[in-house]
Amino acid sequence: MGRLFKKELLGEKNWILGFCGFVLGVNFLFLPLAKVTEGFMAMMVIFFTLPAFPLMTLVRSFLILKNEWDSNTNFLLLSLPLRGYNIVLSKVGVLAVEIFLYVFLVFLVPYIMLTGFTNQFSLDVLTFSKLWFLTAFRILLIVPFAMFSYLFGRIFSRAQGWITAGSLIGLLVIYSRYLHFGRKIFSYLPEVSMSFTLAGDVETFSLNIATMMATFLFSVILTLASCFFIEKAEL
Amino acid sequence: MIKIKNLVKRYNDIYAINNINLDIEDGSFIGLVGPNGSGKTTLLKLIFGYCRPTSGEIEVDGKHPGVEIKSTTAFYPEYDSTYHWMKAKDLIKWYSGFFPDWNKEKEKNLIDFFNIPTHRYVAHLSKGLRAKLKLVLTLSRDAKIFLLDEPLSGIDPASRANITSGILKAYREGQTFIFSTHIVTDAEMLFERTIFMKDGNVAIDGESDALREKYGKSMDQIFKEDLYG
Repeated sequence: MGRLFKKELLGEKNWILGFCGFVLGVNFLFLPLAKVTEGFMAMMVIFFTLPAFPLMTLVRSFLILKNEWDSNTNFLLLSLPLRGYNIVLSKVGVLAVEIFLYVFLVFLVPYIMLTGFTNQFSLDVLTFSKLWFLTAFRILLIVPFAMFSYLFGRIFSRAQGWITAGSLIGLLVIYSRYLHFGRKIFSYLPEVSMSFTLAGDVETFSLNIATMMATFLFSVILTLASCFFIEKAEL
Repeated sequence: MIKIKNLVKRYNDIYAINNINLDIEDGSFIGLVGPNGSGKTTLLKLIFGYCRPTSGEIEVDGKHPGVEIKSTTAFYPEYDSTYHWMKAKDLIKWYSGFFPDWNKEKEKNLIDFFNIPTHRYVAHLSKGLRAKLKLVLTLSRDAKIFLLDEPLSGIDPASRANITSGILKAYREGQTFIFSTHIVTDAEMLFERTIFMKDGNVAIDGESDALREKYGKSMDQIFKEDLYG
């Protein structure tokens, strides 16, 4: 799997560098404003950049597979004597690296701005790390939805595009119905609380881990199904 | 040995393969001949497991097509399936690492024979060189079965001779080669057995010498005059 992962990482190199450059560029563009507005603009950067990530992740997850089909490299990839999980997990792995890197950069520069240029905001490194990990992890859970839909469409020899679109919509319906049940399974898990200090006041917010773990379980099932489907895909 | 029983592959209402029965013995060099759309590529893809039959059965050394046979079978796709962002040498090195039957000596001989500039990016190679690079990726293995899908398609006449010589050079006793083509002239001297396909069916199947004797013509003439004329 290491060999495949390395190939995927090198194949994505330009995209990763380009997007990291974009994230850093946007942040540094706002740097002078952050000084004047005492960090307010840095928060705005996060608000504007982060919501785009789930959509971008969905598109990237489709493209990482679709590109193989469009350029016929799927013939080379699927000629390897490897089980489907090697191929699927190497692609998920590379997307994980990308997402964790982008989210880190999105948080890092504003964090430096906020803690460096204002004396009214403080967030300890542990909370920062927790926030980074949990945000990136939640975004990563979108990947299996897109991969499953794409590969499910590919096991049919006709109407593949319609089946892909239909299966994604179907998945979202099933997921929304499952979530209520899934949350119950993980209801024993406590919420994760994080706090930061703003203008002398301690602000606390919490993340629902039960929802995240229920989604994780659903994503694991989708990933396993994708590993199966890629071996059955029609070329 | 490859055993094909009552094989059917249908796309919508079109039968790409229409009830084919074939037995292919080990160690034979087989020509799979037919015009575009006769079902050659679909048949090879079905044998390798790139697609699944609508009905019927295929067995490759007693196993069903899929991941299990990929360690003993090599497939040359008609399409350009190489990663253009890699250097040719990196692509060969990367691909070779997956196969325990990779033969370094064969790889070197084929690269020299085809004169491939491996230091160049695949994107910068000509179409002919990319086809030859795919052949290096396919033929450098000591696989039991080689499925070559139209290796002469889109190649100029001078390079075609070079490619057929390269394939012959890579051939080892005991290996099975299935070579699909619609350009019969350049390849017919390779075929021990020739299977002519028409409309998803086997039209003629026999030992090449016996067919030449029976029809009193070359394979190319049988192809052009008797079957598809």
